[in-house]
Amino acid sequence: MKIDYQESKSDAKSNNLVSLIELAKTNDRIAQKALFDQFAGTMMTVCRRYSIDENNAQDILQEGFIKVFLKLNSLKNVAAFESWIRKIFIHTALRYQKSFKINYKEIDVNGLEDEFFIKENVIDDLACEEIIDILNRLPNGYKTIFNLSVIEGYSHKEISELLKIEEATSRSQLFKSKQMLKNIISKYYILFILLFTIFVSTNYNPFL
Amino acid sequence: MQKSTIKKVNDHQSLYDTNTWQVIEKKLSERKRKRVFIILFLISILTSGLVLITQKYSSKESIKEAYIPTP
Repeated sequence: MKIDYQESKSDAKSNNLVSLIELAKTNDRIAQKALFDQFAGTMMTVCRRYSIDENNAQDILQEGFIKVFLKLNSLKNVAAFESWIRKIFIHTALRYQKSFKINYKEIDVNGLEDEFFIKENVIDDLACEEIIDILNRLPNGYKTIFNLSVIEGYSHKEISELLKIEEATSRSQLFKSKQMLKNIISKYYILFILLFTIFVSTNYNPFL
Repeated sequence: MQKSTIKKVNDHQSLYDTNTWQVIEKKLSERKRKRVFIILFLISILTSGLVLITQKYSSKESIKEAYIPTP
């Protein structure tokens, strides 16, 4: 008889997660700590993508986990825990952003071409830390809409409801964010090539 | 952005402050303590209110009883 070890391993992992959640619901601190250890790294990435700086990301991480543990009893479908926790962190981050009063303006994008997708594969070659670093160079409004639309997969209608803006504003902000991202990536690549050339010219001599 | 890149970003683990859990634990315990304090405060107000009402009622009854003329 063949045993699918990969499947049984993931089953064991999900069973472990279910029992951890059930224990955490009863305010078991050890189970809550185990859940924190399992998800803190991934949620910190979410916080970093929506925050203005590292300190702000740390605050969102703390606030998000407190909300998760306080609302854990309202979680009906344990299998959807990961998407549920991610949603809580996104909402917490957006609530934090409200205090910074981001101005979402509608921009006229008629006549402009969406050039981003021509060189789309450039960003796919970058390492994750580099992608997050590049995303953090975008202005807060652009960054939020790019994250919600491209990374989280929210529709423009959902974004407009979440941020209380017009759908057209969301669309135009996404377009501008993609354009700006393209500029940042091209500058990033020029710098990389320049540094690489300097490095090669100083360290490598084919005649030696 | 390709789906694999989006998955890569979503699954990425970032470093966080090692004291974060201690802060969360402290805040959760504080909230629990606050909740217990509020519940105790409400119970004490309710019981003192009940005691006052019953005392007032019983004193009125006793006054009434005292002034009932005996046939």
